[in-house]
Amino acid sequence: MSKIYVFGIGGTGARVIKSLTLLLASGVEINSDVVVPILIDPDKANGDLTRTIELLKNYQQIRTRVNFSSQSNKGFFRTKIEDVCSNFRLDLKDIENDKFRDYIDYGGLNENNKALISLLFSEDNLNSNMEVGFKGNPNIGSVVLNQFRYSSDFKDFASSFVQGDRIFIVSSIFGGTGAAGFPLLLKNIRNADQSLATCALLKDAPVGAITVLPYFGVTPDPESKIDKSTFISKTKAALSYYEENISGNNSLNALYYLGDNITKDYENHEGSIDQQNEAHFIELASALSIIDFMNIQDVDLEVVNGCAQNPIYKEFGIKNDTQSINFLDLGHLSQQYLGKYLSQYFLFTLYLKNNLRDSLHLPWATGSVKIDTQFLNQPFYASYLRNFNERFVEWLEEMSRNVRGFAPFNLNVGSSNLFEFVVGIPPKTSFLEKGSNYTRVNHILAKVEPRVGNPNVEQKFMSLFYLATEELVKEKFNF
Amino acid sequence: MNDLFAPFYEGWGLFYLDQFSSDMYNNLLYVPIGLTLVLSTALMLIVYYYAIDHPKFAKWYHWLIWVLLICGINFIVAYYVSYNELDLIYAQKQQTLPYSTEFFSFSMFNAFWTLMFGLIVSALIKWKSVNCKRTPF
Repeated sequence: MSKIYVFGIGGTGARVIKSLTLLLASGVEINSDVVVPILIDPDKANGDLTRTIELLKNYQQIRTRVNFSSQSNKGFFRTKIEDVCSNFRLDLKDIENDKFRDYIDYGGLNENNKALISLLFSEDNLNSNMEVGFKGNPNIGSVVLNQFRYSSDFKDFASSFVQGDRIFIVSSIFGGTGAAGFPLLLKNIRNADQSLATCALLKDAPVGAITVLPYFGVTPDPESKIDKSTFISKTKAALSYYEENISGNNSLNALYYLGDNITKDYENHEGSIDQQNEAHFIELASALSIIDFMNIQDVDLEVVNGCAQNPIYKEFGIKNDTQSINFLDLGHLSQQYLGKYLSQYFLFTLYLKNNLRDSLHLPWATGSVKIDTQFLNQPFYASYLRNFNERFVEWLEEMSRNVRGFAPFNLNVGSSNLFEFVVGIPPKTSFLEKGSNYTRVNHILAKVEPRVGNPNVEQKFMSLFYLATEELVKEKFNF
Repeated sequence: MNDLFAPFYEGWGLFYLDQFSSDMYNNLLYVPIGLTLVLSTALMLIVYYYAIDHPKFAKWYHWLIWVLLICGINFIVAYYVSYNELDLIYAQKQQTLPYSTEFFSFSMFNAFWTLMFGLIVSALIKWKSVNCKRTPF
């Protein structure tokens, strides 16, 4: 059973993993049996980190009740998400309530070392409280995050890694945690401790990464250490480092770049619970890079003695340069991929919210495995699935509001124009088709129900809606 | 075929209406009425389960309304055929038609058997329907 370990470093890493989780829920196929997210962020209370962890747990709660008996079975929540670290988070020690000077035991250094440190770090850096992260200072991050190699969570990851598994690293290049953490993590993978049983496997493991260039700004705030005017200079500095130490030494099999020149300024929060940025299309596109990486054949990801034999470099583009993207503005492959799965899942959320309770008398709900009010009151539906769907819609809403926006759906369709939910693509209709709007959905649900069989009720529910929405989005939009 | 339908219309004696039933039997009037019952019920239920077959008409009372409609049609057919044929027969004999409430009673029996036959046909044919396979049960 092959796995992909996805390291998400910093806030961007967390938001990309959130996008990936929502894509996996919609049934996107990732060419791997299991995804193992590992979040790296010193800021434990970070709003984005917390949201991602909650979503991952929610996904697992749903996935444990849905069984896929064969490799070829498609469906919502098809891919397993497993955790190798507690709460999906690689624990970083000695950061809470510590200033950087205490972390490096500045007071215990001799004068020569102090002088050297003073060349590399400003007084502000030394007095920096790391509880909310590195506040856009990768020079601090590069010291603190080097503790990876000694952490028990990293050792747990290493010992669970087997032949056939892959690794992917997600980070931004213009912050503090991601820019520092990415090259460090890669170095610690390619040069894993010899005492680890899997050090040889890790050295030659297929590793991909995406480094996200600036795609948002922050409002000016004299109280904050984070300043958007430094994003580009930090990006340039990091890129020149990567040129030597990442692409320059072929340590990566595949490196993806992504960024945007249309940006919105978020509120300037250094970290903690207030750092909760709205979802952005760049994060969704970044998640697609993970799927793309998993589709690369093994033969093209050969690594010998820690060096990738055929390193691949990719960027992502859209067809039309607009302020607000919909499916028609994407390239053909992205359009087909995102269009099918996101449309299916959005239709699913609409039906559950607006029509499910009125349809429980219909034949698809009244077979030998009943979908009834008792099922709707169980935690699977009432808590886990409903909560997850609310997060899904919230994610779509946030992306639609952002700049550059991603607004492929009309989020406010009603019962009389249900299939007008895909922006820019009018639904196909036929004179002979039975029913319209939710009635049409009911007809298709009844039509596909014999194909579902008699599994447990949760499995039946999810399979039924996957098959029905798949048929409907094909019929209406040809996705 | 008259002998096939007669027990049903006479209820094995329970619905026997003396001379009226004899006249109906002797003039082979059970046949067209019985055949109409069988064919109309089967055809209209096929329409319900396979032509209409709509999620909006999948509740038990939609089925009931449809079957009551079929019952109504067969009530009218039974009344019309029995009245007109027997009226013609007695007119040819230059006698007054001696029946009044019997036509209504006979038509009600026909409607009753329509309902019963409708239940049997529904149970037999509904399984391949997409939206109504579990209507009314």
